[in-house]
Amino acid sequence: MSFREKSAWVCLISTLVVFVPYFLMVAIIDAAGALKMGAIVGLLVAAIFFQGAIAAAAMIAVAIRSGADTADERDRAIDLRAFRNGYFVLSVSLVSAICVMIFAPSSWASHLTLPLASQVFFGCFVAAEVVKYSTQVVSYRRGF
Amino acid sequence: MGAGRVINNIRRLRFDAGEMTQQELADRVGVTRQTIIAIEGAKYSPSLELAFKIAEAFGHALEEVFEYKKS
Repeated sequence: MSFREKSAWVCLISTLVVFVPYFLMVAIIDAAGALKMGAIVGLLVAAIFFQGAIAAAAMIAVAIRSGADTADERDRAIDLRAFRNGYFVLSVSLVSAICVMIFAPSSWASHLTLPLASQVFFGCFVAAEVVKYSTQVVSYRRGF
Repeated sequence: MGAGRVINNIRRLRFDAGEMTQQELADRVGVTRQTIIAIEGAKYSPSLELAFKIAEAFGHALEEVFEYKKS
């Protein structure tokens, strides 16, 4: 397994390990009616810091064990495909989220607070990242 | 028209070249060993430039290394 494939695995796993519990926690807080901007910002900063720390530590371990290599044309082709898929998910999910917010029934409107909307948009970015890393992993495994 | 695929004789040519390793070939053409593995296993079709470099590394013409098979 190449360094770049291992990097993709590290990013995918660290993103899932941190942000799946993060969004579950956000959902629980929202269900309790306590979703406030201050609490969300603190949680978000902690999650981003934690994910960065896990990914950096794992990346250093991978680089020490297998040595970093430079990207060649296949790596660049895989990156392009991954970015294309990620961008597709990002644009579709963002447009869908905006449409839902605009055309939501009035019964939902009271629930659509700024903290919740920010989390929905952030979720779109995380989903796009997961799709990007998944595309890289699948392309390296199954061939491209 | 169905999509075809590019097949290659890299494994045989490496054998003919005194069991040249995948790493040696990768170093000669400037890619990673994983890319050579992917090309050899027909999992990745190289760019025209890389295909020429690989053919040059074996001292063969491009069409002796790569073939396009219609499905």
